[in-house]
Amino acid sequence: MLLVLGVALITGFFLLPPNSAWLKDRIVAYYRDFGWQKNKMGIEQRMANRFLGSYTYSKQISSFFEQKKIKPIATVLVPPTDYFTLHGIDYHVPEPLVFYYYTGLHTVWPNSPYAQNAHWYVHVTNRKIMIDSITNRAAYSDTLKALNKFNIRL
Amino acid sequence: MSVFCVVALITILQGIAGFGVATLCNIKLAPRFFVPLCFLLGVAVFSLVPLCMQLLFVPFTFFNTALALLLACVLVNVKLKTGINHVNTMFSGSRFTMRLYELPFLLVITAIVLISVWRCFYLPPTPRDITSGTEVMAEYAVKEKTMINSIFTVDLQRNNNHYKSSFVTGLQIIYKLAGLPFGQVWLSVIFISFIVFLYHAVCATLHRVFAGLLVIAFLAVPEMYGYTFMVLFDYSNAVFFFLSFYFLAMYFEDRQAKHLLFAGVLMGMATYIRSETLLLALLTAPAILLNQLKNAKKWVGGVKPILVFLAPSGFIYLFFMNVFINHYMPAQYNVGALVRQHLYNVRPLLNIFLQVNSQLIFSGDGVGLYGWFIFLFCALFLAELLFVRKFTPNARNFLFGVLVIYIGLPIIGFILPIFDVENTTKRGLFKIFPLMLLYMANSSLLTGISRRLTAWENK
Repeated sequence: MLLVLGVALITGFFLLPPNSAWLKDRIVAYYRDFGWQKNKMGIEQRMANRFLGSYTYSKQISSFFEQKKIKPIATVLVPPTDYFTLHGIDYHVPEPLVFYYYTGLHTVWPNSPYAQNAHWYVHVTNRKIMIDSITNRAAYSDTLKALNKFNIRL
Repeated sequence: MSVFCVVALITILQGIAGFGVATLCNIKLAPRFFVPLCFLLGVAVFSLVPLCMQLLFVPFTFFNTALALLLACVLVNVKLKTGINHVNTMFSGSRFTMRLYELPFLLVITAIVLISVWRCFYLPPTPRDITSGTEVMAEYAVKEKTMINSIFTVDLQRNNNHYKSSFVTGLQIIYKLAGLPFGQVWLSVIFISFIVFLYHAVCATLHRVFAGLLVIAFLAVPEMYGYTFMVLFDYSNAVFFFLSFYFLAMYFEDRQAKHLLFAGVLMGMATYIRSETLLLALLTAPAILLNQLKNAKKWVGGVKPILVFLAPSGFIYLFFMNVFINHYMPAQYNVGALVRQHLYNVRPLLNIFLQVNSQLIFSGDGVGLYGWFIFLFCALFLAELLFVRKFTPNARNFLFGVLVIYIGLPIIGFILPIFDVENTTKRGLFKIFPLMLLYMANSSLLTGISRRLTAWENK
């Protein structure tokens, strides 16, 4: 009798609207995720699946410096998220410390007091992420001014 | 398999360390409470080991860290013989029982817990507060063998997360060194131990059918469940805050000083995890004073138990904020600058209080965040208030805890505007749920029905 009562109480509990939504959208969905997650155990895969474009684009930028073997000394200006959105790229730009966590690369926001110290900057041309070294400081100051019009979202 | 063995080994060591602490504090409980408590205490002990290593400038190599953890286990087990005698007595006098009707509840609880454990292991730490703070510090601490590492060469403007408690950093360092790239699994140790402890705490007063249902309702608090596999400070903080209240309630009942001191130590741990818990500890003090007054009939004597309770929290706060952060870490952190100016103007306090109620608790969003749990508590509270008009002493104790959180969080938000409603208070409310659960478990309405159900069952 109590066994039946127990099953009835659990069923009733999970029939209540927010509880049924939680069960379906969380627990059941998480078990469904487990089906594919157990076959994708690589650290990079797991990072990319969790952080999506924020991680993959950051790694793409970082790999440029790895290939050139200049990563440890590079400080890179990365424009805010809204800049990339405007140029058709879905890239939520991580803040410098998170960027460093993902990639080991030092980055700065355009509004940072250290932005002037950057050696490289990221920009978008023809919907492609490009990285250039800063050679003309006057032109770079104009770039900073333009980028500072975008809001920085964490 | 090797990962499983590593986690099992660390967990066993944590159990041993926790056993040592419980023995040192002379805590005697039934095994169903004692065992999960040992694991929780063990996690707390382990979290302090990397902090001590850092203070002594010991590099975080695998060997050093393993040795330090073993040393910690040995040091806290100085009363091993007493502890073993206690365990022998404890286990000889207890037997494990499970009823068939518990099975559906336990299966559902296990299913909910297991998927959380998987996600805790599989997913990288996600919240921004962690990836831009303790997690990145731990990641580079493992690479560079020190917490004072290259993250301080990064542009840190708009970020104060690296100043946050080294509770998470320490545990992440240990688990990363043990070969788990995302660390985090310690959170599952906390989660499982806590649920086992809670289940038995509820079973102690309620029929197991109600206990199972209430624990499932507690697990199904959506926002809180999410943080059982996403590392942040709030879940662990809620666990140690609750444990502190649990032992404080025990002290109110049996007046044994060891329970008061232990409650203070646990509150100290909660304060180590989230420093603003110190304010909640202060708000708890009137309950100790009232209890003292009720029993000793004098105010003067009430000060000493309050000091015993608050001392660990005060010490940890002062040590971590003033010594470790401001005199040890390479960047300064001015907490004073975070305090609201014009504290005499209490209008913002009222606004925050109303905002917490209208946004987080009594709203559609609130139901989305916390399910029906708060409403279940309110319904039971009102029913008891209207029909029974009497609360059991334990129910009163946990109600007081609920009140401390309910008014304490807006006060913290008022004093520290950085403690916002949308994020920090939202997660701060995790502390209220286990207290609500234990209130419900001690309410005379439910215990009365439980007694009748048990009597019917035993006919």
